[in-house]
Amino acid sequence: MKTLSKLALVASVGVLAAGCGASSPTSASSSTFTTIDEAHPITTGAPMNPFNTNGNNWIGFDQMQLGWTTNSATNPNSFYPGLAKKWKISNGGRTVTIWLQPGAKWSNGKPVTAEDVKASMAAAFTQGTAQSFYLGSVKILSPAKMQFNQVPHQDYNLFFNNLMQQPIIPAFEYDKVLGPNIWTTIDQSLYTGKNPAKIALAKKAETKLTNLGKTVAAFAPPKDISAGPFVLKNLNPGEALLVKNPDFYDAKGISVKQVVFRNYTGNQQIWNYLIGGQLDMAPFTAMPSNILHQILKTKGNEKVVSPSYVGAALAFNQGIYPYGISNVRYALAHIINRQAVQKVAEPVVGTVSKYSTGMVDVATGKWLTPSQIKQLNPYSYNPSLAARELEKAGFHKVHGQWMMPNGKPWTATIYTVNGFSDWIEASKVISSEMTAFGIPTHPSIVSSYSQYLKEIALDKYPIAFWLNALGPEAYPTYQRIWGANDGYNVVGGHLVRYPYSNTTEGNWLDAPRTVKLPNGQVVDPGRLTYDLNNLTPSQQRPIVQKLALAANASLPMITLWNYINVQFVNTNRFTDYPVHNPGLLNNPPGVWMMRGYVKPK
Amino acid sequence: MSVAESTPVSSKIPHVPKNRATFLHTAWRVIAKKPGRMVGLVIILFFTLMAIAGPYLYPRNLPINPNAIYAPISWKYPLGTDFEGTSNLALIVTGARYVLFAAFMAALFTVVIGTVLGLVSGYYVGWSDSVIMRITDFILTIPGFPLLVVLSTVWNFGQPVAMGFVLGITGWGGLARAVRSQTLSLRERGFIEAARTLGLSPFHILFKEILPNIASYIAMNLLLAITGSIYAEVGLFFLGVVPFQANNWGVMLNLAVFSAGAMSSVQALPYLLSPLIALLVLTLGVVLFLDAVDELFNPRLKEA
Amino acid sequence: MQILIRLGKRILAGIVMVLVVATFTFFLVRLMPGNPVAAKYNDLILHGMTPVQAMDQVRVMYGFIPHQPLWQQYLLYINQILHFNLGRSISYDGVPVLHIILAAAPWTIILVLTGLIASFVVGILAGVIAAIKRSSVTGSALSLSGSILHGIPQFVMGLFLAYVFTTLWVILPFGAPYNASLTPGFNWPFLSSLARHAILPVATYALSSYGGWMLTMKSSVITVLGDDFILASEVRGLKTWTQVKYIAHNAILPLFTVLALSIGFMFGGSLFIEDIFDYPGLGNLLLHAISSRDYPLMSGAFLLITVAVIISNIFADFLYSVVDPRIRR
Repeated sequence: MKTLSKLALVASVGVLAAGCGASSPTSASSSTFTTIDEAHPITTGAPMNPFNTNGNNWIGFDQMQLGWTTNSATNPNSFYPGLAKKWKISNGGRTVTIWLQPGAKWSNGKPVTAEDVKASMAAAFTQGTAQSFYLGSVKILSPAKMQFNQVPHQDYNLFFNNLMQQPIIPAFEYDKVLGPNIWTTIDQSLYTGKNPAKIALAKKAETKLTNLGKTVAAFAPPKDISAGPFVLKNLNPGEALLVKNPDFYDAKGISVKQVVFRNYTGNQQIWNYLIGGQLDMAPFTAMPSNILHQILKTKGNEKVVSPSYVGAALAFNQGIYPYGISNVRYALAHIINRQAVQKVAEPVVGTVSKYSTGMVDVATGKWLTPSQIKQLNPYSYNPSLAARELEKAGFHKVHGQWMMPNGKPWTATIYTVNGFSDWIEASKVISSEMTAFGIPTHPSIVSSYSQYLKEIALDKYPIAFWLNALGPEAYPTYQRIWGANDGYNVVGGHLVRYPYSNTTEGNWLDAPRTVKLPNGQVVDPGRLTYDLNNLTPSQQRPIVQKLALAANASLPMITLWNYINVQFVNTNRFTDYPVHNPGLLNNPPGVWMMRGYVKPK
Repeated sequence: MSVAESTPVSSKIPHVPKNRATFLHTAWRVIAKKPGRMVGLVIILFFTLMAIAGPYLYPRNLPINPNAIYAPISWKYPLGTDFEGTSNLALIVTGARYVLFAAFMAALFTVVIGTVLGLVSGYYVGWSDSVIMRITDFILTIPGFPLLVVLSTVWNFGQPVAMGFVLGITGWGGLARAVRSQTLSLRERGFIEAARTLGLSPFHILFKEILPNIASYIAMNLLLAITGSIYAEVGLFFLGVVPFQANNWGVMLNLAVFSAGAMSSVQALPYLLSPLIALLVLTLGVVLFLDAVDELFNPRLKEA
Repeated sequence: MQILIRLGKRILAGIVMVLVVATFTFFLVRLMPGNPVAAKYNDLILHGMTPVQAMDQVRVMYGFIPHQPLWQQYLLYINQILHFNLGRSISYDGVPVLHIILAAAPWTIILVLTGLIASFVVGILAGVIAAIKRSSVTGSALSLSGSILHGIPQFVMGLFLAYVFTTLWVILPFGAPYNASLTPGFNWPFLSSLARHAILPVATYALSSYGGWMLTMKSSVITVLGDDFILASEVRGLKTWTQVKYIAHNAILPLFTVLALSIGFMFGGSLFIEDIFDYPGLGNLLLHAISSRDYPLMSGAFLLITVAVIISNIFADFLYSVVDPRIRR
């Protein structure tokens, strides 16, 4: 028996030794920039291909674009140069001429030419992207100069904006996937005339492009070929290591030698890395204030704030009784104490929304005149006002509980999604407030976002959380209210509204077709939103003003808080971050480096 | 996979059903023998009481207090507060019902399905046996927890009974096989042979003659199934794959780790620790009490 | 020879089982509600992409959602499985599922196997000691350690270890299976990095299954100790070593049943452990597939976990028939 216990002892000591024998984790070397890409996880099986949704490419590091947006709310055509050194917009925004960077090279030494850009646009056609900004033709004028035109008779105001943000890929890799006749197919698919033979040909070409698109998205180049400042060296499922690309056109301007991207599956991992001082830059992450304090206690960590154009809202399905009654929506806006909600749910990366205009408050301040802002109803927290609104609509209180005009007691469920901790916490606070007011309410948390979006479209949720005010451009902002979720779709260049009964096309908001503004004018917000598409910023202004007033007056959703873009940088290893340039800050750090920022200490 | 059955020690002498009073008396004597067992019993009773009465002690929607977010432990908040200033103690107490009720239902389903199938399979050898054992193999082979995770996205777990049913239906394999092997050995014993020659109905033989002899084993399994089910359901909520409505220990764990940052900040630690401690205390109670059940039903240990 | 026939039968049964599980998961997974494309789009927006960029990213995903009738999809699926093809992922825009899964599988298998072996060795030894010295303090202490560790749920253990060693007392790395600056291969820096990153997850597996081994071994040894053989050998004064050999041989047999159950349990635990430690194996992949409603990836990951369990079971059964001559009859 002695032998056995000795053996056990040895074994357990061995286990202990294995457990304790480790030295402290290696801290990143001084010239390694460590960060996280919040948009996609690192997966060894995924291809190094920007067209793949979860591909192993990093925008601004080893994936280049023609230019980088300055995120201006009022001028969508303001860009920093990328692979395009300069550009000219002519013909009322319908034609764009581009001059490429003269020294631009791929990481294998081959020059970046107009052919590469043309192949990139061809690839964009296979993804359906080029069609979405109405690209009509690409002309090569010289190896470094080219011209782009919109589809005839189109006047899309974000043509240049979208064009500049297309991923640029090497033709020598992708030509074999795209095939030699790709432009013939594209030109066939763009046919808009009346010739039935050609229409049939166009249909066939479209199908061909869609199928090709799948091949392109799944295409896995054998190694990373980058025209950007970095190129991928090693990749494991938890980390990706990029090293400086010596062939980058401005390689001498880049002072960072290596970049490490960490994988993450939940925000709490980012918090942990931040508290450990391991990240030189961390992206926008929702967090509670106790974590913020902890992060700021770590030496070198700095919080950087820039505006974000996203709001969190409570949306109503007006097709479900009683939420089609406007007094009910007004009353709920008065019952919800947005200060308390924000304090609990989004204390760090949110600010209380002042106006429910369908835009974030910063944008409201920019688009609307002071006198218009005065006309807005702030829907401040006021239960007695809420009670008055409800009584106006025929509701009454019995034994502390509100009864609906149809005689049934009013109870409610607020739907949110698992993993969205801020929404969950907000839904709990709002439920408590509504219950205290006399409307028994409980939150219901759906297990995944994909299920949530499917069920919301099937009219299963009377009250649900929704992201709105997606800017900075005006059209996508208002599309979050009077867009596909309200049945408005663009079919063949025309605006169509699907009725509420049509669940497959997802009209779940069921907002009234027309809204009466405070000045008595009656507007059609769906039509106005669509009109934003083709207008210059100055032409958009009166329309945006009407839409803001309409959103505030009809209250299809209550904006609870606006997100603010809180990022973190660490100054222990690097300095000179673009902290005072919010437009640049909203770009990935690779773009900061290209602009001459970020120097090792 | 019919890996050979371990035949857990069962009574060698046919166990004559005693009358209730003497059984309770013996049980009490066995429990009182060691203080650990008493502690175990008290803990189990305490949690059971909490599950039954807990929700009546608090209003239906627990009060929130945005000025006491992650408040430290105090008289007002004996276990601190959560992200909206709700008392963690209240969350634990009101959350116990779903957790324990679902676990109890799960254990019941497990034991009923496992026992009946095991008895039938072991008694009527032949085609019914092979069919049941193939199904058992299937259930045992499918990795249970991943299956639950996949199932949870399809099934509505709003009601504890639904949760219990799913846990039970995926968890009876091991018990069925063990019961079968014990039945197999018992059916060759003299007293069963005698019962058969007397012309007693198979129902009578299965449930009146064989079942009492494996009652000990089943009782142990009932307790083990309860703890196992608690872990499984709390785990499901912890991973966040299950839609939820009510307060629940697993939800607390999930929110504490993934949105309160309890792993990185001391302030939110009570929010994480409250459900963890509740779980561990309950586990401890069951472990301590199992010892008594073991002795009560297991004659070999009584001799030792 | 009989062993081989038995093995052949087992393998055949295993293949049938895989097909049954494949069928089962196929239909189960298709019952799930959800829209993978819309979810990804909104997710990208929430992470700061402009609506235009986000739309560009997800547009092609539409093409990978199957539209044929369910039975056609099913026939296609089974046919593909028979050709070792698990279809194409939706969330990865058509990358073959097998490719993604095979990249993740080694990480899970390494952890599970290491954890299993560690807990098996330590648990068995502790179980024997606990049984033999069951009336001493050592014995009681060992039994208690077994009961308590057996009682602690895996995720609690994982959270505890993660909290202690990566937050409170930062001595071990977190996330990533090894340091990306190292070149994988048979070299010391890489292997030591691999080991250091694996310690916590492996320890979680090992600690949470140690109790089961220990308790089973203990009760099994106690049973064997009461056998006539031991009594007889004591009377005849046989050497201790012969007794130990007898005990070890007979007491270890029931553990093979536990082994079969334990393997399933370990693979199931990978969901928690990989989630807690952000370790990139099958468990994490399955959770990703579920939350993004990537049906082919979900069925694939689940099927691979099942196959791993089935193979381990066949292996355990084979070992068992080698060890126990009775079963060869």
